[in-house]
Amino acid sequence: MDLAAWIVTAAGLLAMAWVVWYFWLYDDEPGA
Amino acid sequence: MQADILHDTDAARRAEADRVMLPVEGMECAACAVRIERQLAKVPGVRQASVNYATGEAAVTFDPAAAGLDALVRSVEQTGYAVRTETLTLPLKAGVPVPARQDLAALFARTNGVVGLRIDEAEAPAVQLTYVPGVADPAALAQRLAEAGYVEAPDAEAAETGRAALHAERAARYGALRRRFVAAALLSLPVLVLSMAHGALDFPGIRWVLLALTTPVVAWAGGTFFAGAWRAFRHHAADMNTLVALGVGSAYGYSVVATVFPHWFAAIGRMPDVYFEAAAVIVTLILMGRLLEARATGQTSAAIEKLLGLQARTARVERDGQTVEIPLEAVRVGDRVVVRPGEKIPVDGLVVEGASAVDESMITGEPLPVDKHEHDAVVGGTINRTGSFVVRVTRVGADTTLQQIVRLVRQAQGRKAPIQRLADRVAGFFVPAVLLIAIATFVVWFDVGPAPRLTHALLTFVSVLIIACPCALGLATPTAIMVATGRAATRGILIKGGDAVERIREIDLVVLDKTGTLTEGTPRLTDVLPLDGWTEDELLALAASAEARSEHPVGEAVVAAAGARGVRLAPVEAFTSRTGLGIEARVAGRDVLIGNAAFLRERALPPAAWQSVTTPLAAEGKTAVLVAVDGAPAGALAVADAVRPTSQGAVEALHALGIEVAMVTGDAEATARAVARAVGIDHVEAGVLPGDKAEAVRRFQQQGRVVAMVGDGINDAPALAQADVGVAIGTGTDVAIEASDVTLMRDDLGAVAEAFRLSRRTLRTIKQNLFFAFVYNVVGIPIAAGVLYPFFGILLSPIIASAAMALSSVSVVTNSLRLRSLDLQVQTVR
Repeated sequence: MDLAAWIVTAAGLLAMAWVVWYFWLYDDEPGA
Repeated sequence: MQADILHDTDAARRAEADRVMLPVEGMECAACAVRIERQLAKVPGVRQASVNYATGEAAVTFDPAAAGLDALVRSVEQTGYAVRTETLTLPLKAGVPVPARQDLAALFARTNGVVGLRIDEAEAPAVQLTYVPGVADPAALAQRLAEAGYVEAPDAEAAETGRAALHAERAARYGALRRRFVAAALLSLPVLVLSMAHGALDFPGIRWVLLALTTPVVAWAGGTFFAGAWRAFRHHAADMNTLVALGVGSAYGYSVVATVFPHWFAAIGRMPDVYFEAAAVIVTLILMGRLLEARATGQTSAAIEKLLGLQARTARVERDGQTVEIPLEAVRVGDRVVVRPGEKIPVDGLVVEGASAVDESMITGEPLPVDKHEHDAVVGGTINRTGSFVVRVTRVGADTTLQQIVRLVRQAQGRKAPIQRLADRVAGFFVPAVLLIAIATFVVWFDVGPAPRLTHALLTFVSVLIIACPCALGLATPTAIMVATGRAATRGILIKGGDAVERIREIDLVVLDKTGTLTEGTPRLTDVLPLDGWTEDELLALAASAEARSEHPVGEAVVAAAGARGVRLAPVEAFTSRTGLGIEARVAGRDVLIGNAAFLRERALPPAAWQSVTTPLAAEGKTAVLVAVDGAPAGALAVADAVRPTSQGAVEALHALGIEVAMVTGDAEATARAVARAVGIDHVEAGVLPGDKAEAVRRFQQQGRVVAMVGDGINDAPALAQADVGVAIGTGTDVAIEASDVTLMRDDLGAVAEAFRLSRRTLRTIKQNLFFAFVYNVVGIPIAAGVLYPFFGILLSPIIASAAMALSSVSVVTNSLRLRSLDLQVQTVR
């Protein structure tokens, strides 16, 4: 893997973590 | 005792809850509905909120003491949507002082639906009321202002109904959608041709031309996707707009950069490819899907439109000795309305003059015209066939049968089946999951995919986002429920909601009330059985003379039979009636006693004296009425409640569906068994007092049965409520209808089997839809992600993905529409 691939991978993982946080974990309703 | 308390508080709780239907604007998908539902549920005082994406309405049950309508409206607005309101402007009456704001506010304090009021004090002072259409009726608001003396009495013709406004709004939205689709299609076509020509049509600056053609498609025609995505995003939600906006936005954004700054790509040794055709065609195809979907969901509510279309617009009313044609809204209870042959009957009422045959098929589903004479009730919306008659109006406006049916059907369509809640929840989880998959796809293609890796990564990312639209999932249940309840309504079957549809499927035992359900409900005389020394005519003449004073149905049956045989009645000198036992009369100088065994035993006449004639009766399902004359047994009369001609077929139809049938009745065991045998009933509960029917239903439930109870009267209401599914038969009493889940508009048990069959088919359709939507995603997403590429070299283009997505929604809706033409007759093997 070259540098670009590493950067994309890191950015992708970061984006996925953000999606999980923003859409699922942020919700103030428990269990929803 | 405890049960009573529970029951009372329950009733009280129900009494203070209000239920409104709010028209919600701006919903674009099922996930929006879930979001609004959650937000509404958070408002203090809201008991239940159910938002239907297909109808664009939110049904809210709330406690008016704890929550106001304005709180509900605000809550919807906080979510990023709007409740549609209308403004009514009425000029103040000349010479009336401008009312204080508080006075007006007090006037509408107890009126649901008014969300704002304003007094316009310009040159022509006027009152402006903002209200929620469908909750408040503009005509009623104007009426109230007129009664308070602020404005002139309203003109009945001017008021437009909320329904019509809703209709107009929907038509306008459809028109706008179609314009955007047509523009997008016209612009996308050259983009597609130029891009797909693979260089054959290349010319310098082609990218700039593509950019110019695609930009309006994405920005204007596809603008709603971005607006919707942003609205959802602000509330930490993601829906189909999010997926489309991200997909289209990525393809378009990358292409713009490649067009404007090609040297960036050249510098790192890449070909600056553009994907304008993907962006443009995805927008076009998704708009096409929305358009088809809008048309199809419009058809699912066609049943209500059809019912409303039954209503006449005017009525010919007798006023001051003249017959005048006036708008329906101006007809009042007590008016005399003239109906001519071939005309629609405008209102509910009683025939007071004339006779005719009336086609009631639109209400009851019963194809044969019904004869109507004086004192018969007629229903507004039915068609007068042959004669002309005069009707005295008994119900107008929202109280009419037709409007009640419409209300029931609308409520039913607003109530969600549990299976739909599941689908809604899945849709809520689904979109973020798709985002994760799309990002992972991009990374994997970029890291280990073939060159050009950025191209592949971008295309698979877009394909995954586009193919995974959850709209098919969101439409699967509501469209099926709407079509089914509408279809049932046209057959005279009113199903109260999606939850009822789902419960009906579980039923394995139908409990029937005998009298009036299985039978005609009116007894008739079948045999005259004289004892030694009496002839049939002598016995009947004395009995009928005595019964002539009685109002008991058995008495009426005896008198009717005497009339039919030409037996002459004698004058009655004295008459007393003992409720539940019998009568005592003096006829032509003789003492006549007529009654049941208990009555005669009380008079020291042992029923054994009648045994020779009465013994066979019970086995034939007949009831014996004993007659004694001058203190000696004279004979017996046999009466029976005739079994409805349709009952046997209906029981067979239920059996064909694998459902057992039980009967509860107050009759003696032997009589009940005879009737049960005649129609093929499996279980009999005889000797059940009217108040104990609910207990009988409970007993069946304790045996593990899932029970549907069919009944008609007020006394059946507890049993209807106790049963897993209550079916009120006949145009029945309001109490019975209220307590039931299904109401049959015709006196035919066959409709029960039809309702069951329809429910089963509906649930099957829902499952097919959900299965299809689910499988489509499970199969589609991996293919779009390129799972097949390493093995077969298959890679889905974003264009194909968007076509597949549009197709999935359309096929789900089309599948639901098939219920419209379902044959409801249950096939039985004779």
